[in-house]
Amino acid sequence: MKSVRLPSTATTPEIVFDPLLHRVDIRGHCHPARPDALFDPLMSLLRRHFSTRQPLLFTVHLALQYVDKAGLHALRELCRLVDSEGRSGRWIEVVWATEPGDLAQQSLGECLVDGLNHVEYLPVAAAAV
Amino acid sequence: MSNTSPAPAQAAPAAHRPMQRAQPATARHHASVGVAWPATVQVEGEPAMRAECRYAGTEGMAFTCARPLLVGTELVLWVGLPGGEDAEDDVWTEFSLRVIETMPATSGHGMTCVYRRMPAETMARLLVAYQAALAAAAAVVMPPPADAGVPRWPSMPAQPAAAAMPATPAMPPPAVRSAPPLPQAAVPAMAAPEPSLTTALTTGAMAVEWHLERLVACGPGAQPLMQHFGALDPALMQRLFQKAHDRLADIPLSPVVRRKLYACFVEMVRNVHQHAEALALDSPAGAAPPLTAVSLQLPTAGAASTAGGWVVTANVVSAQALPRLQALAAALQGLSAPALAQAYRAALDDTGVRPLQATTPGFGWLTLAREASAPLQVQCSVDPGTQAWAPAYLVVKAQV
Repeated sequence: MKSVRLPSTATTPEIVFDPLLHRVDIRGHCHPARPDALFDPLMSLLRRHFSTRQPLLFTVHLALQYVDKAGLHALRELCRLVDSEGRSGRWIEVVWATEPGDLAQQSLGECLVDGLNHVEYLPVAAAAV
Repeated sequence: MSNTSPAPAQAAPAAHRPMQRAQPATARHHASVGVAWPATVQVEGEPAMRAECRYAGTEGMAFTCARPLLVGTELVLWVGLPGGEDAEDDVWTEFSLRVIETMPATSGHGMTCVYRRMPAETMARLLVAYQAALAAAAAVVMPPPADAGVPRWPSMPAQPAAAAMPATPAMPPPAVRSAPPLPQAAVPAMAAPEPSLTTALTTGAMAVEWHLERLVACGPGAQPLMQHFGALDPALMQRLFQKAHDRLADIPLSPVVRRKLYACFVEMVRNVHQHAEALALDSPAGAAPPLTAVSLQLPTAGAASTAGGWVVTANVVSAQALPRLQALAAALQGLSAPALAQAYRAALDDTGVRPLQATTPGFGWLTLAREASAPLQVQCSVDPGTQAWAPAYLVVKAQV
């Protein structure tokens, strides 16, 4: 399985999936007109990766700016997917990068992982990512 | 200053010579998209300068000139419409305009292109006026005025034609912008001039658009970063979002303020697109598209305000919707910070279909209230004009 990179657009984020590093990065604005078309292929990719590569550690890096409701729901589904893999014994990290002082965005990250007990939530400063 | 109805047709001023064009002679008879027209631009107190005017389809009128103009500049644009096969037969029509946006010209000659957006229905009316002016010019040959060499403001004395028009270097044929054509339904066939066209232009969609512009006008201490006036569609919204992102990236703002301004801009544009109501006019063109005004503003240099910026939108709503919108605004104003956070979280988790007539703020409104640094300003007003169809307006201002 090779790395996959989806460039960003005016309304969709850049998505980089690296199977060797067991990591997916999602950066930029996320208010797609068709969230399913954007995230369903990513979800399929992740499911295949977990089933074939069986990683012990997997990291989701989120450095997002504006996210609309549809985008948040899709990201929450992604977090639920990796949480289910964490329930199987894998170490799952969800890194949420925000600018220092951006309290609204920091609380949004907490909303994404609220109720998910098998992920390690790591809020970090955006410059550190 | 606002748009005026087209002035009576006049023969081309003798001092003006058309710019070289790549279009064939037959194209001169069509007020179509992409055709360049000779023009003259004059800002009050300054010499007139040559310009080239073209329609940009649904985006409105565009012209290029040699000197950059600032947003907000009020000017008079004289456009030469083809009255015959020769340039000397051009019919000059005057428009009073205000620059709302500038961009680098596509021709690569270092000129600035400015344009005025207007809805397709208004563009269609202007085309009717142009065609009427052509028909009138063909019927009557009017001698050029004594000072036809230079257009002038009514309060200013005429300037010598020779001194007012500095020589400009010869330019190669301009690149015709490949703009989409006007929808066929919006462009009426050649018809007799409407006797009440002037009245229609000042009381119809254009009057509403002027009112919307006034509603989002920058207050003291603010300047526009980008603005849009007119109908919205998904493709245009995408371009607006990209433009807002690019413009904000060029401004020295803190990343947090930049993100919040962008978030407010997107939410408010989507809100007006979804909820702006079409203004039904008693006109041959039928119902006009929903008219909206969006303005992204920053503090002027030296302004005392410490705000990162403002996003202001205005759109037409029905008078019946005012009580619901006022109740929604009151609900937003009454939310404390903890209540706002709780309501936001509840709206985020809600996957149901929200009723259109809901009186409580939805996720979009709550996002706005969350990102803004001050309580949202939501104003509902009725146009106090004398027209029987006077619409109601919703103005939303978010400060970041």
